Amino acid sequence: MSLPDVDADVLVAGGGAAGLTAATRLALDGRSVTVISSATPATALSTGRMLLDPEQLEAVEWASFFLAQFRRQGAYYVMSKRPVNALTNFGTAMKQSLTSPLFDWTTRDRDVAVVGLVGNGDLDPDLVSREIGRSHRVRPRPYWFSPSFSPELDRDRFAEELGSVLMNDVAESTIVLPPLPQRSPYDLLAELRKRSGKRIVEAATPLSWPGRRFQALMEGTAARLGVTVLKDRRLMSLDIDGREAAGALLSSGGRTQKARFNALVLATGGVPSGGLDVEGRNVIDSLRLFKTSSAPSPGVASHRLRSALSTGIATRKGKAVTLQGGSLRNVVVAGSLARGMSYPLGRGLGDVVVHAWKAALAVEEVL
Amino acid sequence: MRSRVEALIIGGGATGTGIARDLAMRGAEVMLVEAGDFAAGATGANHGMLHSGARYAVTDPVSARECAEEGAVLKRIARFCIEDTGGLFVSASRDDAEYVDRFLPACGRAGIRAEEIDTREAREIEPCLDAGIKAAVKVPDASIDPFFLALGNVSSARRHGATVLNHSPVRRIRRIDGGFEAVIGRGGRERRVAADVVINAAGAWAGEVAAMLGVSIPLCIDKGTLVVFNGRLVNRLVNRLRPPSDGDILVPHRTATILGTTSSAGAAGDRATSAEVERLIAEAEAVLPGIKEARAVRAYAGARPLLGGGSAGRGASRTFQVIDHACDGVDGLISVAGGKLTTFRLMAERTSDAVMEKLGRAASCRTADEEIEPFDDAPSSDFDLEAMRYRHGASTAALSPFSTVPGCGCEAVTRGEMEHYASSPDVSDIGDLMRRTRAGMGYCQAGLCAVNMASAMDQGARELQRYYGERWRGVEPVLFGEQLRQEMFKAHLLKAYGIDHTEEGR
Amino acid sequence: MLHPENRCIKCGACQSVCPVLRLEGRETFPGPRRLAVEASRFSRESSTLSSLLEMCTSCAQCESACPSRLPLTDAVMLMRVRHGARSEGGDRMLRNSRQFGRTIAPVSRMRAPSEGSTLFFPGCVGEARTASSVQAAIDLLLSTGDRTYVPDRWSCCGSPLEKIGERREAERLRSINAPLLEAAEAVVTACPGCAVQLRRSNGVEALHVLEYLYESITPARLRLRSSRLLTVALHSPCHLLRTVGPHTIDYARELLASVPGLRVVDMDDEGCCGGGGGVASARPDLALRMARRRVDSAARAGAEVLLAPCPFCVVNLGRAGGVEVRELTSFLASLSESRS
Repeated sequence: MSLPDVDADVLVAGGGAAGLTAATRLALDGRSVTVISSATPATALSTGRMLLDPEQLEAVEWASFFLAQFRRQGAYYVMSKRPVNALTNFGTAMKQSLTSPLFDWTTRDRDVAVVGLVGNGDLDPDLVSREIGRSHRVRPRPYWFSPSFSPELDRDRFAEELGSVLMNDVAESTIVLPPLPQRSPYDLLAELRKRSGKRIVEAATPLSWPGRRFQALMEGTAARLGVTVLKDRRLMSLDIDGREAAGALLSSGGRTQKARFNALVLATGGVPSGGLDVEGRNVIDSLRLFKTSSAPSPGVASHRLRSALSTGIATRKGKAVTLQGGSLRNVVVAGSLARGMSYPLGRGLGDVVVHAWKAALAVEEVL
Repeated sequence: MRSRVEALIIGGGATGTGIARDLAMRGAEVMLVEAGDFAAGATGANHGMLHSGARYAVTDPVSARECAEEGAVLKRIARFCIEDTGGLFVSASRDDAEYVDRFLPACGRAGIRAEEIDTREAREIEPCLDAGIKAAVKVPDASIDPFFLALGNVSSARRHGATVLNHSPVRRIRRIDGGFEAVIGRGGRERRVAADVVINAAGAWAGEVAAMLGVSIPLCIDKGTLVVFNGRLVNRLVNRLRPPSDGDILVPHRTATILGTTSSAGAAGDRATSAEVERLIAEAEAVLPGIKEARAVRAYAGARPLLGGGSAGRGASRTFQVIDHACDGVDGLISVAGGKLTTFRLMAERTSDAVMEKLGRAASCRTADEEIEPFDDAPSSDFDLEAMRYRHGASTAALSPFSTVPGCGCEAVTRGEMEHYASSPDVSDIGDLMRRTRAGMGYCQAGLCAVNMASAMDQGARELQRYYGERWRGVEPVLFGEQLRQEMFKAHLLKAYGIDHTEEGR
Repeated sequence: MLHPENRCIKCGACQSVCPVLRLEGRETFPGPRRLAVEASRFSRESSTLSSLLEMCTSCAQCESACPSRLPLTDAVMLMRVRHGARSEGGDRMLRNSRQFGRTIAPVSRMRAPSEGSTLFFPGCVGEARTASSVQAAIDLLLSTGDRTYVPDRWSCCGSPLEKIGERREAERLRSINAPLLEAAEAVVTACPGCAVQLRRSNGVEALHVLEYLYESITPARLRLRSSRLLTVALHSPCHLLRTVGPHTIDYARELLASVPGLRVVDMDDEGCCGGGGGVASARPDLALRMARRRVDSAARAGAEVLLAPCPFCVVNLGRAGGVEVRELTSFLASLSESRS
């Protein structure tokens, strides 16, 4: 007995920002696309912020489409012409291009309070306040708030309590908060804004809600475009016929499932996501099918770490190169899985989505 | 800060702090100054072994006996930082099976309780041992935490009235009427201290300190590299039953296992190299084949200050010497050099005897009779509390009430514990806080918790960057396997804060 | 001991998805990273964790989320065994196994031929606690003309005994079942735990009823229809989803979608029913809180019936009250036209 085959124009392996970008663009072009995803992608662990070059055509294309889709899901982002400083949960500044009335930070803000939530380890207001004070003339006031209700389990009462405290007990007009769980993208932040009458700024925080929220928005966009996303599936092997990938074997729980496609996009990410693995001192393709190579570029001081970070699947004209040395004409690599794309060396999610947006075009050419 | 003391001790390792405790207990006015943090030298870069002495039974019987006797003393007075795991000596399949015939009698002669056991029993006690081991001997080795040992000495010395200062380097020292005057750097300023007697316990830097007074000490530095692995790979210390060589010993140390060591001519400040790490792992494979799959999280090199003008290496004696520099024309300067961590108390006793004689007073040594720190054996019901109690023993009570927000997940350190130690005057940088709490010493090597430490210390991104840079030297040699994955992930994470955690140098 | 948890890079994905952590909070339940990865490296301190370890439902959500593919559920179970966390439930299971070859004393026999080609494996919980839904699944299969049978002397699959460290007993049970399983052309069970265990330890392709219904019998041959308009919600059982496979839920959805008169609504949140990992017996209060959370979610979605393709889920969700909870295959059996 066997599972039904997965049949699509394009199979995309990897459900993070790269995979979902490529899948969405291809679906926009009318292709039938299936995305398979196995674990939490690095996108969901990121700060969810990105740096985009407004002079770059693909970046503008990506932004104008995706931000409109995000808006339909209740998240308001605008791509700004010049990079804006996001405030991290450590109080340092992080350059990024996506702004929103709900997490803007400008150094012109004078009347700022940093509010930490007791029990929430993401933001220490004393630390953030000091750090901001070190680099700016303004030193925000730190406050600690001890919530009586859980923002996740008792959202309304939490919002009511915090909103009232912010309005009555905090003098400042701009409030920096740690990330909070949201059901729809910004419902809780928007509500706090309404109740408190203050400007609310969410600190850019990795390994927390903002990344998960961004991931959810990308998934929502793909779903709206008719992309099928299969979770808890892993690409196990490829059926290679000459210079082409003719099919794949996917794992689903304890069993396997065949996939047939005309083109395959590999977007399984770098080492943190699991698309690349480490064997001894070498960074290798987790599938052990493709060749990896490095493209050393500046980013971290250690030469060894830089070399490891810049390693990814080798490509020839965007097509993946196998360990035997030949490239597969219908296999395109997108995102941090590709050489030279790892974050510390580049600008992060912005580079990844642009790379994937372009990769989708390469796939179109194959089809 | 006092301006006049009877005894000024230079060097805050196990020996120096041990001397401070001993002299303070004997009623002397003592000040100890340490250039960095306590245990900055060999004390903080060794194997964490409380020797049964068996390792030296055949080649260095004097040292073996010293270790056997002192080991037993320490197990009484330093329970707070000792894990009496016991030890095993095993012959690998490629080793000389007859070495055991020299080993056992030598242990007997040195007064070491060594018991040969069946290799099958050895593999029941240590299931990960190689199937081909040929002989096994049980010995009373134990694991000791040298950081906490030195800190325990410091607390005890202070309780007995000593002034003990870290981050206080001696800039200059000269002879004056009736003694010495030292100029100490502290908090960006210089202070002068006059002392009747100066004790040079500066370990690998003892030569430099002696030189300040125009005296030389025949020291050679022997470099020993060690590798730290995640998790307890063995239940007891596991030693190689062969003439002392590289990679002979595995020591379970709290949540980790330390593999060592090498022996080569070196200098203070030497770094561990990847080649050394590879060699150590290759040697250990003969006894613990699974070590290939273990996760190496850090490597470090210690500079062993060995006495004798000759060469370094395994041939050099590990015994110690107390040098009265009256014979060099500097009466009142006493140096102590050589030795092992296990014999620090004896070294301190002999040195203190010499100092008390110079001071013209008689007072007997009680360090072997009194516990350095009280040991609290009552278990706690909470994981974080238990981890803290195991680190800080009886002084855990002083920490509560405290914030239970997680500070370091790997080592179960709460924010409260971090904040408590951050407020100590001894703690001025993240490294100091790390050593007192063990935060940052787990498998992620301060991936997340360094931010919490910075926060607990009212420090920011700059100190964080400096701390990471300082730690990088121990990461570079183990950039392979799972730790390479970890460091790649950290690069991603810290980039968001604008920090390059591989950037060394202030 | 060498550690498979060596691959952890502290990304925290496991912590963010753990349903027990999200419900109870970090102060009450520290989460899979602490229990399975960090704490296993401590020699003495970790003995304080026994009461916390019993709160893990072994839903494997953490394992699913982990980008480093850590075997987190096994690691938690190992910690339990290491710390002797063995409730009286464990002793009772062992006694029963030795006496009856089942972890629960047998209550009734399934009504089915004792010979055929499709072996239906009822499972201990299935036969003793949810016998009616197991019977319904058997009847459903028989009604399609399938040569379903239940052998006379089957034993527990061994999974619960392995989980409490009783390897030898688990092996004994496995060898009793081995000839029975080998004799069958197909092996089907309604219990996800049994399906996985039989595959893993007996090496047979044991299919969950949903897999068999969808792949072998197919929705067309089932001829299902609802006599009245009914709104239902579908709960995704953790073990079914993560160990048998996510395709089973896709199958369930398609089977339900093929029924005229049936409306399937989406629930606004997902998660574990709270019944697994021994939590229902060790921490019934927690199991109930988790069950309530799921059932409330179904109620908010407007479901009249909450369907769950797993006997453990059905038993635990049923404790919450509020919305009717039914086992999926028995529900499907009630809709089968061939019965009316």
